[in-house]
Amino acid sequence: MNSQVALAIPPPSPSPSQTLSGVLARSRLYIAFLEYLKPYIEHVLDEPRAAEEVAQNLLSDTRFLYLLIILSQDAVLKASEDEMRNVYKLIYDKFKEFSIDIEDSIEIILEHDLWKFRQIKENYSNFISMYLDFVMKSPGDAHRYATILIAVMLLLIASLETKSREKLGLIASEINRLTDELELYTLTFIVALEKDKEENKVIATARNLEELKKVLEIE
Amino acid sequence: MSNEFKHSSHISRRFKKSFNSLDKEMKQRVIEKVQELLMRHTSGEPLKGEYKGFKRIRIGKYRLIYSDSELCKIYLYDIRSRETAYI
Repeated sequence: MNSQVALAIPPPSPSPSQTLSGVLARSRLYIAFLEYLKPYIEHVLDEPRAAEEVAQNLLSDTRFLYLLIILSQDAVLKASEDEMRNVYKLIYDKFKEFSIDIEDSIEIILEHDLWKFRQIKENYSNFISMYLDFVMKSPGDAHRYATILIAVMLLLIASLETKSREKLGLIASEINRLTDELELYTLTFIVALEKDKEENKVIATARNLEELKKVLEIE
Repeated sequence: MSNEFKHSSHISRRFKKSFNSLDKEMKQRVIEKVQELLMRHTSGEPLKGEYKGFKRIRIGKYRLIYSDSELCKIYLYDIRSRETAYI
């Protein structure tokens, strides 16, 4: 079941920034998406800690998954790196206005989104093959990855809907927790795509500090 | 007291290349973290799926990626910047 859900979200699934970009542009597609998500966003706004649970429920919702697949195609065709950066600048500034530090998390999400976006644009067949391999071999982790992406997306949309410092603080705390794990997925995918590269070969070993410094050519 | 590491370190070409690109201060921080790792004073968070043998340790905006899946061996894979110029 988990692998089926993960496969239902195709690899060019919309990253949080691409979705937010569409939300801010208020295109017809995203207005429909937001309308569908409205009760879920309200729930997350009311209780930010429930974002993960809401995301899990949405992964069992066929209509939501259909909308997500359509959005994924739209995102790949229309989103640009500058738009993605602008969206995060906007969110970063909003939290900063309330003296809430979310810089690390924003960087982690943007790193994930930009890296994935570039893979889809420039390295599609290798990326898709790596991702499908990941889904087939590790369906539980693939499902968790989808849950994190959707939970982060819900929290980011919710953050645009409030001016309460308390709510934004709770949202930031959840985003920080989820992005710590998101970073592990980004690094996993990066390492997976670098598999079998010449640069991975061991060129030296060291058993003490002196040997290590010698290998790394430092004083 | 012996200065031998508890694990032997196996350095990849990728790690060395990334290390050489760091500034002096960051090189020092990485060396300190690697020492802690090799003396078993710290450990990282495992990556996902079949890459669970690889782990992440944060050093500021950098991530040290290594593998300890072989007994008494630490494979130093890479040091990767988070590219802070994103925002």
